Amino acid sequence: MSEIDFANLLIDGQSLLLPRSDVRHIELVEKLQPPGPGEGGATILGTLDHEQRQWPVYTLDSALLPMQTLPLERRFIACLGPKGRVMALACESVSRFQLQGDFLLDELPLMMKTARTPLQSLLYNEGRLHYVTSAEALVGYLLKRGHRT
Amino acid sequence: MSQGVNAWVLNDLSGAAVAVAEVEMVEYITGTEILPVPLAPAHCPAVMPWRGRLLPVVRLERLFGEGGEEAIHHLGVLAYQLRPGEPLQHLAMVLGQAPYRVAVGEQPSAALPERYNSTAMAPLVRSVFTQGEDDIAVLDVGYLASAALRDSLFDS
Repeated sequence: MSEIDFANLLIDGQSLLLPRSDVRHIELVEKLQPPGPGEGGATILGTLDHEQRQWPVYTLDSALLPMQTLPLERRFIACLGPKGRVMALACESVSRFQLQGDFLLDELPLMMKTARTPLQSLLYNEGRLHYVTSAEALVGYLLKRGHRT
Repeated sequence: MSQGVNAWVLNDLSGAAVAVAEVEMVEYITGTEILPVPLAPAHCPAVMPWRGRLLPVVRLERLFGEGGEEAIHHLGVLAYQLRPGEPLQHLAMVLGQAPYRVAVGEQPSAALPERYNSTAMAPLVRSVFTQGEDDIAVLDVGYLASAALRDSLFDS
């Protein structure tokens, strides 16, 4: 029987699934510190102190595009860490996503695999599509869009 | 496409017609679940569950800057191979109406339809035949699904 176990970040109704090891820390959004004068980029909402470093915090809209403001619904910040590069993503919830048995997990179709997306696979279960990605892919996505991480 | 064979004629949502070989048309579907995928290309904006897979849903007219947000009522599941000898793969093409079958008789090849007259789009056409007053391009489904077309449309 097939089984999956991911971290699930819920952002504006969109479900992002990442390897659980990619989520290094979860914090409440109240801990977000605004960027200082001259710091950050257009869509860095602030920073979070963790593991003796400052993690740039972003959030995404329902089209998975970086936002310039933080919606009230984003209550949590997930610190995501591929080796050497870190970022944090503000989201509505962070939870564990486990499934056994009846689901479809398919690699993103070749014609959709452009440099403009961090999505790697798609998971379909009970009428809902979830987007499988990774911290590394998200960092790469934001860098390609010209945002510092 | 050889002369004297059957083909399926598919109309996209702009009304333009293409054809595929009879064996490439696997299933005609009405009323199914279409799942949008964020950050997907405009001509391939969604996927569709089908026989245990998630098929890319292709809106051919958007390759030519045509079409809007029309509702989807008709789809054709097409089979292709990216390279000879590889397993068959499938995609779903959005149609403006039900497909219909024609016999492609003996005739000289027709000229490339105007919409394919570019470096990026010309490889989509295997051949062209005339049906009544229309020149119909025979679609290279494998090229439609390929990284080559994708990369010609986007910086990769």
